[in-house]
Amino acid sequence: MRDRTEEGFDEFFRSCHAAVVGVALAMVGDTEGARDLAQEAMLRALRDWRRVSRLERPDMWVRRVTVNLAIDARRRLARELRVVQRRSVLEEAAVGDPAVEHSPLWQAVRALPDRQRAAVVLRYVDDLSVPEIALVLEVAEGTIKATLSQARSSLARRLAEPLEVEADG
Amino acid sequence: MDDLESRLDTEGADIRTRAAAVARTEAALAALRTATHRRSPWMPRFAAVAAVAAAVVTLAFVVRNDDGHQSISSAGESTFAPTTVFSIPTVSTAATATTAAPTTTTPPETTVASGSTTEATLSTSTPFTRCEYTDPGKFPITVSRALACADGTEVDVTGEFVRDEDGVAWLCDQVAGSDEQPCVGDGLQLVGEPTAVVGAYSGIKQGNTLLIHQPYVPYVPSQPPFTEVPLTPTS
Repeated sequence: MRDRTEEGFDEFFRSCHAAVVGVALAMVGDTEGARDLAQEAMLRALRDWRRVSRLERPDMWVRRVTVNLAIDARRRLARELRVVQRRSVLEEAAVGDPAVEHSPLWQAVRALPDRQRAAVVLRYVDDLSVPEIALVLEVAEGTIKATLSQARSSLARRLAEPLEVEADG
Repeated sequence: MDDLESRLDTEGADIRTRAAAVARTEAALAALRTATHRRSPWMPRFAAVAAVAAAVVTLAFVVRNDDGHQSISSAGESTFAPTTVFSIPTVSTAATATTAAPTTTTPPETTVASGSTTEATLSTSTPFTRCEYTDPGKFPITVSRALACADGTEVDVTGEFVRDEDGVAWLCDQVAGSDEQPCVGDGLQLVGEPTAVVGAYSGIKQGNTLLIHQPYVPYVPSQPPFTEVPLTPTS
């Protein structure tokens, strides 16, 4: 017998889990890490399921949690490794999904500032619309458009000159 | 740019496909149910996560003193012993910061202040606000989290300075405790040399001052927008 407080959670899990894993995978570039992040995001959803299930878009809520967890995980890794300055160290430290980790494009994406990175991942991996991304990141749609535009400009520049960031220090 | 858009679409779809395989939703659910014996498949794992979360919260427990002064203590370090102030210039003067009277001898490049508590003065034109978001336009990167959003004056944040093509921004996005309620500030933004440090700070805001406790505080004192000055000891 399922606890009534969990009612509807299985369906929610099935509908969101893969997408949440995708977001996590693109954010951290690490399959196991992505799995763990997705699991934790879902656990948080369950923990607050009574409240979360009443939200208009619980699917967006769990994505927001995932994005924040991914950012936190990255920061924790940085602290553990006492990474001081260079994002490249973070990239080298991750045990990643080869297709995601070694893709120059996604390496560049993961080098973006957190919100740009999240916006790109939600747009191109999770295939969300701008209003949905705004909902996830809790900012105005115009901000998302600007963020995505900045991110694309940064990516274009980084991909054109991949060593620029590393060489300036 | 069209090529980039196309690559993002294509490679994003690839990751989606890969994620679907990684997710294996049914297997994940079944494994959870097995792991939890009979009833709710979630509770044991939840308990484990809760234990970890409790430990994390313990490590960064916010202590509020009777006189209203706030400090952050962590396991193994119960006293609040500020050693350094990072005085962060205003947006308009960020590039003119200088190094002044460092409390420790610092190597020319990166320094890690281990086990110290620092204070950063947030010299921003707009006070840090919470539970409201006003897009400052230039840096849309000011999301933070807080334990509660009751009075609009205090916020517990963790963030980092990151460089961008436009300068340096303060990122705050740490969830404090288990509260998922977002708090967003519009004042914690800096403009400086893009080569400035990437750092990580954790602390609690008091007025326009961010009291920081962070076991490892990386910074480059010789580079803007940081100005290092001695902190007046608090009683």
